[in-house]
Amino acid sequence: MTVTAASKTTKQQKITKEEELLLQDFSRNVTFKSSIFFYVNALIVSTIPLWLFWKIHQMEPLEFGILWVIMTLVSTWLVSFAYRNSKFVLKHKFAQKREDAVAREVLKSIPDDKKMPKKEKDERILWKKNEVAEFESTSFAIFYNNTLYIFLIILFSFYLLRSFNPNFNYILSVASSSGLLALLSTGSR
Amino acid sequence: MGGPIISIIQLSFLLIVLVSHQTHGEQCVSPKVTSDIYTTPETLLSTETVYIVEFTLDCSNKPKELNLYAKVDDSFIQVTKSLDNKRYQLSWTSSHSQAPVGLITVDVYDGETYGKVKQAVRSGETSEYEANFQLEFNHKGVWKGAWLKSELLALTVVGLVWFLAYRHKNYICS
Repeated sequence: MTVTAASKTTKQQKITKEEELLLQDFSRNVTFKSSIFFYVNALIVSTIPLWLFWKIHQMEPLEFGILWVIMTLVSTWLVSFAYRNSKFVLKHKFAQKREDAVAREVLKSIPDDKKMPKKEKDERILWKKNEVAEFESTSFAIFYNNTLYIFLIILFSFYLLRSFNPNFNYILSVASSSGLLALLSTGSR
Repeated sequence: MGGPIISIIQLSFLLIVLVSHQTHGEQCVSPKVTSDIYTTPETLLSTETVYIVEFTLDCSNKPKELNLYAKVDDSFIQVTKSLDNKRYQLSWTSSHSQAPVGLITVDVYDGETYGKVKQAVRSGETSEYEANFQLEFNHKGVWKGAWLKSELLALTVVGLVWFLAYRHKNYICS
């Protein structure tokens, strides 16, 4: 009785762990660590235009400090939103693309003399695939969104809005770039 | 009767000569010039090329009131002078496309020589009077701005990087 109860609990635990992995896989939510990572990156990229507007558009930091802080926070949130969405879409795609290579690598790492049940092997492959997809999708989402954000900032501030007052130029450039980034990230591809 | 009339005519003539002499000023003998030059360096902040020549003139006869005239583009410009009559300034403008470049020589005449030149021109004669001295300086030309603007270069580079990322994203998502 005790042995059966124990094996049932272990099975439940195993299922729970699998389900947890699957839930993590299909959930849009990111871990706390990833979240911090996204926000820090978004903050860094949102502060880059400040240097442009200070040195080239001649906006003084003391005069426009409050506006800069507000717009930087807004931009940070929108850019990190774009990161999260992009990462979610890309993670599955990366997992599919890297599946075979990850499986080969994991199987290679298991010594031949060690007898491992198939389920455990599959779990290892799934865990490794998840880890690789997580890392690649996070990095690529940040890279892709950063280049698009900087491209849009330069396009808006130096071409489309160049005749505007620097104040309005800054507000509209940052809002449009980060807004457009967030909007484009909601697509399914 | 003729005597007073002739003397009046002679007096009038003398007065005219004296007045014209006063108008055009004194003469400068053995001039020595020290000059500072400014010319427009670029077109971004200026609509025309400006030439400014400031100079001091040392004449051996030490004239008190010396008026100078410079010949620029076949016309004469009066040279302005400081209140203490020690420094002179000559300035003129020209459109960027027509502004002369390289070594520029400007003929400067003192009042007396200028008067003679003007008289010769009025009477239709070719002026044979040489300038009292010349101002020489070099104008390198104007910078018209970079042929490739920095924001265009930045936009192109970032656009190219984004395009490569977009292509890779499409490959991943296919």
